[in-house]
Amino acid sequence: MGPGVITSNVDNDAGGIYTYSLAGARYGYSLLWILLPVTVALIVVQEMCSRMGTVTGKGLADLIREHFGLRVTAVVMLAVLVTNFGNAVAEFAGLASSLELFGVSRYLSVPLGAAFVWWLVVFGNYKSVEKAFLVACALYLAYPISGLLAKPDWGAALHGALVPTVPLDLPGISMLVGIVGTTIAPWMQFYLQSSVVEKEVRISDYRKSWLDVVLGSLFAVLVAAFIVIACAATLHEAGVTTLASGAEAAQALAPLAGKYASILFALGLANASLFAASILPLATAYSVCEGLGLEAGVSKKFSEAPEFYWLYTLIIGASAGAILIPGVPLLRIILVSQIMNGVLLPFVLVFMAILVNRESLMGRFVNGPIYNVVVWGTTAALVVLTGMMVATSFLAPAP
Amino acid sequence: MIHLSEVLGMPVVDADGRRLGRLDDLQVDAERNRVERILVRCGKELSTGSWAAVELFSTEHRRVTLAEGAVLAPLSGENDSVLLKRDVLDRQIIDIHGRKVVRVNDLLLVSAGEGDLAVRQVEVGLAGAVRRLLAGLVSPQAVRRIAAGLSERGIPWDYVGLVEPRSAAIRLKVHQQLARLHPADLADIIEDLGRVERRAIVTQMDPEVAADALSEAEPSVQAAVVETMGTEAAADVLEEMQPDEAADLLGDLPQKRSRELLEAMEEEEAEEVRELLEYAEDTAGGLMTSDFFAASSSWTVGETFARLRALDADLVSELDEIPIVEGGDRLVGIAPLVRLARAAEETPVTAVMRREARAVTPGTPLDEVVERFEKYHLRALCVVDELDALVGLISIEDVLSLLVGER
Repeated sequence: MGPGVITSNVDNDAGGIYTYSLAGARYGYSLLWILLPVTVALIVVQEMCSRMGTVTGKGLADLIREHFGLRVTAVVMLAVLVTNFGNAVAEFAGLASSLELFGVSRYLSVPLGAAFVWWLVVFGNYKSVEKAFLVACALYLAYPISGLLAKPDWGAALHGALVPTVPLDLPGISMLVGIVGTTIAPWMQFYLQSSVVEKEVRISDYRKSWLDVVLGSLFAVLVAAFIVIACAATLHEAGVTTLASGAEAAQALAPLAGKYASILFALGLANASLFAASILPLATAYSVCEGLGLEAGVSKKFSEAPEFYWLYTLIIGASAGAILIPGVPLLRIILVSQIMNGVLLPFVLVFMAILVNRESLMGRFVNGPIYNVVVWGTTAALVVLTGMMVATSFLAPAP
Repeated sequence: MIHLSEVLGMPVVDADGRRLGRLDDLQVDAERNRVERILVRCGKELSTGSWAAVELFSTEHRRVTLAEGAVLAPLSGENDSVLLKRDVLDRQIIDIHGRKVVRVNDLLLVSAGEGDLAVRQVEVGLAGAVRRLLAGLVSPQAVRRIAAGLSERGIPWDYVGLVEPRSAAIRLKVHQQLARLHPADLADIIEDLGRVERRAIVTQMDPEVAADALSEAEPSVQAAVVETMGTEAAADVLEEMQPDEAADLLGDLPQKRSRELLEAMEEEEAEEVRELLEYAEDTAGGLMTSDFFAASSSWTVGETFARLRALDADLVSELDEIPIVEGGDRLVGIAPLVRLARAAEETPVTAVMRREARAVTPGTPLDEVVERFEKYHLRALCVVDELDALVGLISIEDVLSLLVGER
């Protein structure tokens, strides 16, 4: 398995699962269509990262620094830091709500989870645990199975997938931004490109890494589509249109697992949350240090890369701590963090599109016209959606 | 002491106080390490003036004042000098002393007497980054106060290796410094660089130095580097590598590229590598080198040492035990270097050797090879064909890197 497949798997994290579930519960099959253009955009965007990493041998933050200077980099890194902090909070929220289904208090699960994740990177063997997590990703297959067992209304699903409808209110538009943001999360692009560089992917392996990206993207979006379908067929049909707790989200798996649905859901969500909670702060610390020219890397000692380790520790500590504030609305936090991804994404895409079209950098590997249409189209669509989101937020009360 | 971040963007005025533009860059004669020109930007126009024409260069007054009658000239084409902002700031450079790749956040300049300005060190710590970020946004005093609380990390200018130096003299100096590093440290540096920087460094290096460094790098990095090099340059490096290392590397490349490179190599070296490529990777034949020193059974100890002294340094470095052959290639024994050294000059080598009963054939599986090294505490193991002819040698280093790689 290559960096593309791994990145896409991490993509279906707590934020992803919850956002897709809510989309299915609240809007039924009607938002399925967004996943088709998102798949194309995801493939194109990830392929660009993988190509840039292969051709230049440098991470995305490195390239932004070299071509746009330190100030621009610092602004981008600050935005990435804030958004990823939100994402990390979402992961711990996912961990808390999954284990609360077993009656485990968040005051126990979150500190333990945070400590485990921290230990893993600083002392543990990260590579072998990564493999274990990926095997556990097979749990995602529960969604397609459950989606099939729930006997969805295929006609309605097809209609929803082919006929675009845009709900013209704040929650609806936010939901669209959230779906795009969680599927093509900005942090994934930084993570993917760094992995490609670290693995020394070669230009002659280009076809293999292209396949890796396409397969990973298809798998990720397929799982996403089935989460929407499973939730539409069960929750939406039953009139459950908001998800107040993990237990409600678990009902989507009832056709497959019956009364064990919540166990299956909790296992899947806990795994996804822990996996993403270990990768996200790590990827963030890497990008920020890379951009600011500071020493980074898990192979270095604490004293050799103090900023890197402190940043990593701080992100985990603060995001886990945020969950422990009494009365904090877990599910709301998760959704907002995914919307933040969607708002940041166009900015990252603009930098990527400029870089990947520079001949001095990419030589004959610059973007072709179709890629440019897709990437600029995605950027424009997100800007329009974000604009509509801001506009509607003045017209209507918050969701 | 002045930081480059503090002076970039300062207004440049002539002797009458008329504003000419802003300070855009400083040009340094890197060999002498003296600032020799200033670059001034006025709108889109870049012009340049000699350092001698600068009357006042003050962070306190926040301006550069030119002497009476000094004029700025339009920027002329390329030259050998280093522009600090364009060529150094934000770039990847090599910290030769710390043996790693770093990114430049800021530069520290010092007065070098007689009004001259020299580069003291490059800053790579958080303080340098923060100074750059805040420059011009808050007062210089505030910048200094904030930066003072942050970790400062600097590398003396003498230890800085510019990856793509424009001047031939500087390039030579950098490569001399790099050549003095241990090949393993050089390999780490190559691993850390981006693709373009790697090519710049490796292709300008002496093929022998490049070969030693590449041998120490991860196999995936070796392949990636060779892939970016021109065929001729890559072939030159491969010729300098141990044949077994070269064979491993070529085995990792796409077949077409591998064939291309073999064709570009000198016939003799290519032949050795081709023979090694025949052996499966997980056998003694795949691990052994065919480039080794063997003594003839008719030699004395003194004769053996005389031939050793005349040898290529590369072959000697991995030598602990010397195989003894009869009639050109038939293995008869092996002599530890230490025993040879303690024997009298006129002693025949056959008198100090032990008969070698542990040799393996090229087809021996690797785990058996490792077992033999462990069981007999070997430093080297001979590989012979079915006629007892010595075809290769496996050194303890080969086994060690095999075991470490498996971990």
